Amino acid sequence: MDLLLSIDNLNVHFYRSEGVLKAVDGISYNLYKGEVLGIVGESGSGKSVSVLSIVRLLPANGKIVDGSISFDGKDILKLSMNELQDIRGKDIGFVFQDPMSSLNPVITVGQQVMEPLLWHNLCSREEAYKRAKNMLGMVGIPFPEERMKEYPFQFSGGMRQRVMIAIALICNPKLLIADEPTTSLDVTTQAQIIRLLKNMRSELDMSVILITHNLALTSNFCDRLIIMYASNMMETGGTKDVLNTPSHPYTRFLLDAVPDIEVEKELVPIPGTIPDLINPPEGCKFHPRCPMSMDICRAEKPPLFPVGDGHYSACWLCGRE
Amino acid sequence: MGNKKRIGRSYWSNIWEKFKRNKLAVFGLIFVCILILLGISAPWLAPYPYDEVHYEAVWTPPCREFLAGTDQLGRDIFSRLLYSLRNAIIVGLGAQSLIVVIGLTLGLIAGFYGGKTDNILMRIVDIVYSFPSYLLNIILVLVLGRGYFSIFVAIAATGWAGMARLVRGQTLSTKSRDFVEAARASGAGNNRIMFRYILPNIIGPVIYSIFSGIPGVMLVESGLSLIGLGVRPPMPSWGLMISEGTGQFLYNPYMLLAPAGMLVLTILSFNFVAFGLRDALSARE
Amino acid sequence: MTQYIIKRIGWIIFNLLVLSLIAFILIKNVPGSFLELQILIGQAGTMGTGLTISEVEKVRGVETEMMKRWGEDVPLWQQYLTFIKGLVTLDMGPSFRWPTQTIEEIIANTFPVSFTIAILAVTIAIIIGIPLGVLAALKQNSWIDYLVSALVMVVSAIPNYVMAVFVIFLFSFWIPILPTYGWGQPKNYILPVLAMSFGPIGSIAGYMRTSLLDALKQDYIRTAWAKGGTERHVIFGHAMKNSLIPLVTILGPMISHLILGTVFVEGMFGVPGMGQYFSQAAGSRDYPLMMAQTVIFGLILMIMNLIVDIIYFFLDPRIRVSRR
Repeated sequence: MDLLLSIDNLNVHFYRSEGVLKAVDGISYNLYKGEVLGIVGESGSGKSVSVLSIVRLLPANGKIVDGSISFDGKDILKLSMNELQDIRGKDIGFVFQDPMSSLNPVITVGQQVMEPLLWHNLCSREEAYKRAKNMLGMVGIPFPEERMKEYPFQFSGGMRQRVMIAIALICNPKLLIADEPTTSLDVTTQAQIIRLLKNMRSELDMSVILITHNLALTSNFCDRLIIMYASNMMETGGTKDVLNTPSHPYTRFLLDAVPDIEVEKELVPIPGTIPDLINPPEGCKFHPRCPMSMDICRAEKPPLFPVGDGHYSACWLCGRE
Repeated sequence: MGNKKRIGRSYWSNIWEKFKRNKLAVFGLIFVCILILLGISAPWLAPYPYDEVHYEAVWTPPCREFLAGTDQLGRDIFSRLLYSLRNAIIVGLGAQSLIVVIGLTLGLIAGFYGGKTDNILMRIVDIVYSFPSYLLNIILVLVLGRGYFSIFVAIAATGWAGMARLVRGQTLSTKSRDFVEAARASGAGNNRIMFRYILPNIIGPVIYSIFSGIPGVMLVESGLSLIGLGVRPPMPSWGLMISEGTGQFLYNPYMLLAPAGMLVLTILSFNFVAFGLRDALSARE
Repeated sequence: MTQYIIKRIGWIIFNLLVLSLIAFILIKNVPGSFLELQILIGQAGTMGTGLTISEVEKVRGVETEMMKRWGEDVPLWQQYLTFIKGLVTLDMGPSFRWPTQTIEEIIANTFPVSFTIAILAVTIAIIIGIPLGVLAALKQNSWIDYLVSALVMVVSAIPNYVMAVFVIFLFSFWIPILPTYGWGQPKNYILPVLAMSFGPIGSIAGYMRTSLLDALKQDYIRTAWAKGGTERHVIFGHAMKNSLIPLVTILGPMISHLILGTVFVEGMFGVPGMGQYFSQAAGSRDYPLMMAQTVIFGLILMIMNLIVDIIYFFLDPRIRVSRR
């Protein structure tokens, strides 16, 4: 398979008045053409920050302090602004978390969908109009002709998210990054959006990175998973492997926390709270909450140990075997 | 009450921290304190009484005897400046206090009780808002005669509307917050809720409004004394000194520059504090 | 939309009635009414009023009319009604201070003057202030930003009558190119407009800067960057649209402030506008003129606010477009 994206030892820091927050602490992964990768974790795990770094859209006080990001053979961190702007929106499409605030309220939806085409000079205005209209239809918005002239506030949350997806896909990108696209939507709409993403992905044959804190969404969409916790990768592997045979204690907790409609079971919350990333704990970041932590967990950060075919776990317990 | 204490500790120290980082704002605050001290102690600090004439030394430029020179009657400008400062502070604080008392009370009532009370009060606010304020200030001073009290009333009569609107808005958004419900559930009466729960939480924007309102009041006052409706001469006021100074600009430019400069500096320092407050408060939200 | 306008006009009329009532009651209570003074002075002949003999004849003639309108034996409520009627029918009788002119004439002559100055000042403020604010925002924390912000703050702290003196000094004495006094020609407008526009330039630049900086922090701007926009696309295609709209909200109060502010400034330039006539009327207790001017000022203010609200309505699509 062809390699599309390669992230190596990415470290991202945020500079706050209270100190330096180490939001991403050395993560590495590869993404191949046509793959769907799911990144799962709680809020504050660093999952959003890691993908924002791919397009260098970190907030002002954030900085990529180490590591490299390579997309389609290009070194992202060394690109000039012009080259970066060429990739954004055209080769990489981004869907943000909150459709309410992510669309400009005073510009028509049609205009906002056309803009990636116009800004990259890919076609004329008339052609862009037609394509935008088609795209709105493809993402499931009825009567696209009329809705092009309307404004975001006239759309419901689910519809707005579809518009965001249309914007991200209109230039036929090689990679779609969806950062918690369903978090602010209700459950039925969530399922619809995921189904839409699946369809679009097969239509356009692109790679997808899906970020979510909801494990359940990943099971029939993602090919591979990365489980993140407090700025580190805890486990990664094929979706079926990770979900059926989780190796990391944290993953097991996450799975236990997912309510099962068929089996009646106790919902087990994970004891403790996520660590302070300005003064992170030594060793494995999960050890303060891990019931199986050993002395070595408190002292040294575990590397990713192989536990199966393409399946890795950052836990000292797995290192033993 | 526990809620209020918790707000007391981290909310305010947070804001103070942000405020401190803004050097201009801190400078402004220090300057404001200095000005207030100077103004209060004018009667003791001023080298000459403000109405003492020295016919032999009219229009002198600044020198050791007369730190800011003299005007067309030989009166010491520096002393007059100090008394004008005192005057401005009295009017600024006095009128603004009146505005706060009226606006705060009405705004709290309107926002808290809502419904018809709110409607009526806000209609009144709208009507007052649409009046030409300077004109009414002038008319009110004419009616009430010159003197501090009438200036306070004249300025406050049109100025309370802005404060009332602000307080009402803040009250409305605070009213629905959880701790207010909790207080009600534990049996607190309306007055108690209004003054001990809502009020401390809206005090931030109110203080900002005060600090940015005082310059406005000072400008109105100097405008009034410019056309001869301020405090009775020979008690000086910046507006009065400016109007005298304008005519005499060619004879002694300091007559105009000194009061104008002081007026601008005072307003600036209040503005700096106000900007600092606004940044410190909004970052919190 | 038309319904809204009609409703607003209704409120304007109501507010004006309240205003006229308050003005009437207040002004009637001002100690030393002109009529009493003038009747006393009028007995002493032309010296008292500074009028020529033929004008005095005319004044004697209108004295009776004034007694009919405002005299001691006319009950107050009737005086008020005459006042209102006069406003509506534009027949308000002669002014006390300038008995040879009727109030309508005075207002008709002076209002366009003040209004023109105010509008010109606002226009200049917009033309200069907006680019300044944008520049400061884009180069945030650079020396340009600090310079502009400092200038803005200092300038908005200087009252317009002080600015007037500096402007006069600068352009009439130091570089004598513009006239201070006199009226009638376009060049007479320059100095007053200049003096009055500094404050608004400061406000608009400051507000524009804040507004643009706020807009740039929003999520939808991040989306615009993610779509591959350049600075031109994101800042001028998106952020500017969002930040200009709230600017309109400060225009209303600003214009009101300017129109009222003429009261203090016109004297300095010898501009025959409403402001100067009002301060003189106040000084000589010319209460019919004062009452009429108060109501007219109020009317102008309310209409300007209505116009600004309508403009805002058209600019902000959230308000303009009705929901499906």
